[in-house]
Amino acid sequence: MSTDSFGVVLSGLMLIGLLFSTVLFEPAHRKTGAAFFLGWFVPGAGHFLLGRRVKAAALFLILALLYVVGLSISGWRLVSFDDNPFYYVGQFGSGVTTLLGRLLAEPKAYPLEKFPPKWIDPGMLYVCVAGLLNVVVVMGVFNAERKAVAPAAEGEKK
Amino acid sequence: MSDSYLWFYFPLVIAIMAVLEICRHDDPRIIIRRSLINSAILTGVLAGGALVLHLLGRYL
Repeated sequence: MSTDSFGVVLSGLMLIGLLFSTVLFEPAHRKTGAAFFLGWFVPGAGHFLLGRRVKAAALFLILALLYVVGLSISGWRLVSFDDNPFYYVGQFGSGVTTLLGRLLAEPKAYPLEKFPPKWIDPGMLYVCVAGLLNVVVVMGVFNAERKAVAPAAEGEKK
Repeated sequence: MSDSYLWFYFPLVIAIMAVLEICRHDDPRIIIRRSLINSAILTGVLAGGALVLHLLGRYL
């Protein structure tokens, strides 16, 4: 598989996962399954689906800001495999970063003239961290679901 | 404009800590306080490690 098709394949897998989670999961877990895969596409969307909207907005803002700052420093280009293999894989932690990276076409980061050339590396790091943090956020969907269910269960006991 | 990497360190660390704390807690005050404390601890550990390495390189 070429490195260019990695993001496309990953997006396809996540889309299939989203469809399967809404069809095959037990009714009690469908929403969480959908939140997991939706959260991968858009940072914070999983928490939004589970009704934790303030948390979702905060997560989205932080991750979007990191990504935009990183992209602006690295010349509005996706991190390519040649730039840094680790940063390249890390940026696929969220679907939006993958999609925007594809839309921005030329997969090669370069420093803008107004920034010092050595800033290219932290710029790519920001893009990578935005993707990797979204993996943590997506895993947090299960914790968010437990917290949402726990008070309801306590109410039923009483 | 200085081209130091330090421009990027603090926003990145605070963002990482904030996301991790948001996933764990619901209270905004706890999230902000713990994010700042954890950022300070991490910075202290890194600065301490850098100082030790610097001293080892200089005197050994």
